[in-house]
Amino acid sequence: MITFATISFLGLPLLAILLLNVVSKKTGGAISISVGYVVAIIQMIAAVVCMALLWMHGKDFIEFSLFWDMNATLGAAKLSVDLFSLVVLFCIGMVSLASLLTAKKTIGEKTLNYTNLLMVIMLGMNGIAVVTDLFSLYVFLEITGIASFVLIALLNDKRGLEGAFKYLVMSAIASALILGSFALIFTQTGSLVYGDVAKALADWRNAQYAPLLIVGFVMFIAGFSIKAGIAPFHGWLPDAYQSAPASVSVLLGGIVTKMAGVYALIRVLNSVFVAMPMINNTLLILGLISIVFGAVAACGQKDFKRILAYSSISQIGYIILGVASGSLLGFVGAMLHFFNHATFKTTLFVNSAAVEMQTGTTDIDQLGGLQARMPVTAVSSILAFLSMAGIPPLAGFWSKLLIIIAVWQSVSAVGGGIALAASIFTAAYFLILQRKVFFGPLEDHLTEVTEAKGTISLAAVLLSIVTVAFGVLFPVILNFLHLQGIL
Amino acid sequence: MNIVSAIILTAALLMIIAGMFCLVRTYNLIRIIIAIEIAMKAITLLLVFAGAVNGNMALSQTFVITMIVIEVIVAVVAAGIAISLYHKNGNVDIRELTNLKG
Amino acid sequence: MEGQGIIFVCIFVPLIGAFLLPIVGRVMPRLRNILALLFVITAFVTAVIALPQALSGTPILWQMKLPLGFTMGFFADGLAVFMAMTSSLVASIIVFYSFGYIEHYPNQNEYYMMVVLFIGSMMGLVYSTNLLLIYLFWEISAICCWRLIGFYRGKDIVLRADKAFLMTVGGALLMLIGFISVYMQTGTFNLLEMQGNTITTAAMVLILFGILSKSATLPLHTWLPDAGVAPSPVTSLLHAAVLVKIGVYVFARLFLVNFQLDPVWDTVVPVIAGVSALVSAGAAMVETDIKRIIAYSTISQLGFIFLGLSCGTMVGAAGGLLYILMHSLAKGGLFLCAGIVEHSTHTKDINKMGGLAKRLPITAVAFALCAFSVMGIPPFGGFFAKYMVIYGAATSASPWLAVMFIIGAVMTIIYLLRVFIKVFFGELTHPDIKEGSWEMVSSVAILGVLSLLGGIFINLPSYVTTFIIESLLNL
Repeated sequence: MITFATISFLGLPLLAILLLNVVSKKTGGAISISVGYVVAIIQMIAAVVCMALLWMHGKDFIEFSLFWDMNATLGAAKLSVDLFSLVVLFCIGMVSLASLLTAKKTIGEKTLNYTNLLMVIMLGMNGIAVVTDLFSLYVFLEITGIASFVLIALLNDKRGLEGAFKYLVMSAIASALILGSFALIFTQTGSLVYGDVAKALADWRNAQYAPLLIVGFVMFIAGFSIKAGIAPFHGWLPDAYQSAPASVSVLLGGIVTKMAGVYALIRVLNSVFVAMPMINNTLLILGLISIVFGAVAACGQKDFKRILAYSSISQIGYIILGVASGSLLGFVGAMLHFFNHATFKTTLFVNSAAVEMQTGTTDIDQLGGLQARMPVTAVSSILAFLSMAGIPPLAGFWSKLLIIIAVWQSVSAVGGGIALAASIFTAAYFLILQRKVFFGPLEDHLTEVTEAKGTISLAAVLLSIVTVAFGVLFPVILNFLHLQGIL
Repeated sequence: MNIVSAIILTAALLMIIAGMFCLVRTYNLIRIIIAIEIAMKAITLLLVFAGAVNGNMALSQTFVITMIVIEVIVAVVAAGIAISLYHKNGNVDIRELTNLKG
Repeated sequence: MEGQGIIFVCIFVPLIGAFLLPIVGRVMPRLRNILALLFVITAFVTAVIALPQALSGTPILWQMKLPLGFTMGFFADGLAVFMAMTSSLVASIIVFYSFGYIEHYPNQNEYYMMVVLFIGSMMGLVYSTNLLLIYLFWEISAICCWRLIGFYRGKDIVLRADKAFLMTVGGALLMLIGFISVYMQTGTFNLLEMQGNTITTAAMVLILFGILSKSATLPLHTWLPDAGVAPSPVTSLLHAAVLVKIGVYVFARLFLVNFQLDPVWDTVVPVIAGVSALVSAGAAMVETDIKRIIAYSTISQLGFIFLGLSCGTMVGAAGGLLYILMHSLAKGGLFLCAGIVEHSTHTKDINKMGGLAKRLPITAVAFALCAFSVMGIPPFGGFFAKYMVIYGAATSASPWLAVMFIIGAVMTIIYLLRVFIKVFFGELTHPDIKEGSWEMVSSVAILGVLSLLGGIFINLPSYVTTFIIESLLNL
C-alpha cells in the first residue's frame, strides 16, 4: 500500500507519458484528457492515503526510492514525504485536475501535446516535493521550468511566445543564481543531501570560505525570489500568466510558481538553512514588500488575468512571511495558506478561462454585468476573492490569521499590522474587478453570453466547495492539528 | 586561499559579469540566449571548483554532466521560441516584444 | 447546559436558511417570501424565549474548546438577547414590507438571501463570546450590505456599494489588528476569559476605528448617506435593524462590559459622539434628498446612543440601550415611509413634493408618529430614552456634555419637522398617486404604533434595560 502510494507520485506521470506516446497519435489525442484525469485523481488519493498512514504510524516522514536501493552506500538518493509535501502533492493533483477540466473545453487540437507536457510538469513538481538533496532539486526545478515555457507558448501565438521568452530568460537567470549558490555551498559541505549540508553549515562563520558562503546565501535568496515572483523580482510573472493559454494559466497561477519558487525555497530553508536569522529577516522584508506591492499594483490593472497575477505576488508574500517568522505556528500557517492559495487562485483562473471562452476577452473595461449571464462563475469568483481578501469564514482568513499572529509573536507587531492592513488593497482590487466584470449593469454587447457549461463550471464549483468547507470546518482542523501535536 | 582558487573564482566572476552585461545591453534574442549560456558556464566552473576544494569530485562531475544536458535543453527551447518569434515579427529585436503591458 | 438549542436555532435558522431561499425561489417565489419571513420571526421568537433565562443570572452558554486560545462559543446574556430581540423584531417588519416593495425588481432571490443572511449574522454577532467570531459575523454583514446596496446594479450605485464595503472592511481590519493586539496581551480571543482586563490605548483606538466605521460616526460616516441609493427596506435594515447597531453593540460589549478603560475615554468618546451628532444634524438641515436627511439623522441619533453608553453613569447606559430599541423602531418606520413616498412619487427631492398627506394618509400618520419618537416628544418612546441619556450625561463627570446634546436634540426637531411639513403639507404636487401595497402600509403603521406604545408603556422596556445594565456592570 505505502509503496504503491509513494511510488505513484513519480511513476504515474512517467507511465502516462509512455502510454500516451506508444499508441497512435489519434488514439493518444482521444484518450489524453481522460488519462490526465486518472493520474491527477490517483495522485490526490495517494496523498490522502499517505497522510493517513503517517498519522496511523505516528511518523514524521516516509522515506522511499523509485527503483534503486535506498540504502546503497554510493550515490543513493532518498526520496521522502512528510506532511508538508503531502499537502503540496495533494494541491498538485487538485490544480492539475482543474487545469485538465478547463483544457477540455479550451485547448482545441493540442490536447495530446498539452497532456504530455502536463504530465512532465507534474513529474517535475512531484519531484520537487519529494527529493531530499539539492542536486535532484535542481534537476526537477529545470524539468518543471522547461515544461512550463513550452506550455506557455503552446498555441504558438505572439503573446504566448513573448511571455514564454520572458519567463525563460528570468528563469534561466534564477537557475544560474540558484545553481551558483549550490556550488558555493557545496564548496563547504562536500555533500548535497539536505541533512549533511545543514550539519556542515552549522558553524559556517568559521568556515574556510565563509565570505563565499555569504555570496551563496544572497544568490540563493535572489534566485528563488525570481522563481517565486517575489517583488521586486516579479517582472516576468504577470506577463507569463497573462499570455499563457487559459488552462495553462490555471496551472501556472495555481501551483507551478509556488512549487518551483515557494515550496523549494521553504524546503531548502527549513532543512538546510536551519536557524539563520539573517536569511529569515531578509525574506521577511521581501515578503512584506511583496504583499504591499502586489496588492497595490493589482489595483491599477486592466486585465483579468493580470490582476490575478499581481494578487499572486501579494499572496505569495504572505506564505513567505509565515515561513520567515521562523516559528512553528508561522510554518503551519504558511502551509495552510499554500493550500488555500492553490484553491482560490485556481478557482479565479478557471473563472477567467470561463469569461475568456464565453466573451472572447479578459479586458475588464469591455466586460460588465456578467453575473446575470454567468451566475456560477460570478459566485465562485466572489467566494474565491473573499477568501483571498481574508474575509471569514472562508479558508483564506484562517491561514492569514495564523501567519499574522506568528509574525506578531516572533518578529514584530509592526510587520503583522502592515501585513494585515494590506488586505484592504486586496479588498479594493476585488471590488474593482467585481464591479467591472460581474456586478454592475449588463453591457449591451454581452446580452447573448451564456454560462460556461460542463467541465469548467464543474471545476469552479468543486474548488469553491473546498474553499468554503475548509473555512467553515477550520475549528475542527485546528483541533485535529492540535491533537496530532503539530500545534 | 591559494592562488589557483583565486584565479578560478575571478574567472567565474568575470564570466558571470560578462554574461549579465551582455544580457542587459543587447536587444537581440539570440544574443540573450548566448548571454545566459555564458553565465551558466561560469556556474559550471564554480561547481568543478567546489568539487576540487572538498574532494568530492565524483559528485561534482555527475552534477556538471547533468547540468550540461539540462542547459542544452533550455537553450534548444529558447532558440525554438526565438525562431517562432522571428517568424511572427520578422526580426529578433526584443523591443518588438511589447504586447504585454500593464 | 439546558437551552443551548435555543441559541442555535436563533443563529443558524436565518444563517443557514438564507442559502435555501434562492433554491426555493427558483421553484416557488411565494414560498420563498414566506420562508424568509418565517426565518426572521423564528429568530425573534427564540430571542424572546431566551430572555427570562438571560435575566435570571445564569445565562445560556455553549463553548467549543480550541487550542491557541481560539475557544469559541455563544453566550446569551441580557445585552445579547435584548439586541437580538430589537433587531429581529424590526427586521421581521422590514421583510414583510419588502413583499410589496421589491416584487417588481429582478434578483429577488439574491435579495431575500442577503437580507436573511444579514439578520443571521447579526444574531451570530450578538451571541458571540469570541473576538474572532465577532469579526467573522461583522464581515458577513459587510458582504450582505455590499450586495444589498448595489441591488439596482447601476454604475454609480455599485460604486457606492463598493465605498460602503471598503470603508467598513477597512475599519474592520484596523479592528482586527486591535483584536490581535489584545490577543497578544491576554493569550486568548475568548471574551469571557479576558473579562476585566485593561487594554492598551493603541488597541482601544484601533477597535474604536472599526466601531465608528460600522456605526457611521464622524469622521467615518460618509458611506451611510451614500448608501441611500439602495432599496428603502435595505436602507431601513442598515439604519434601524442591523448594520449601524452592530457597532453600537460591540462598543457596549467590549468597552462597557468586558474591558476596563482609562477614564479619559469617558470624555473622548462622548465628545466624538457629540461632534458627530451636531455636524450631521447640520447636514440634515440643508439636504434636500429625503433619504439622505433621514440618514444624517441616524448618524446624529447614534451620537446619543454613544453618549449614553460611554458617559459612565448607569442611567445614561440604560438610556442608551433603551434608545437603541426606540430608535430602531422609529428610524425603521421613517425609512419605510420614505420608501412608500419614493415608490409613489418616483423622486427623493423634498422640494418637488408637497401635500402628500391627502393622498398617503396612513403613511403620513405613521411618519409623524415615528418622527415624534425620534424628536423626543413625550409621550413617545424616544423622549424617555433621550431624557435618560441626557440626565445620565448631566450627572456624569463632565456635565457640559449634556448641553451639546440638548442642542442636537433641538436641531433634530427642526429638520424632521422641515421634512414632514415639506412632504406632507402644502400644495399637492402629485395628485394621481395612491398608497403603497397593503404590506407596506401595514408595516409602517405597525412601526408607528409601536413607537407610540413604547412610550406609553415605557415601564416594561426601561425596567428591562435598567436591569440588564445593572446586572452587567455588577458582574
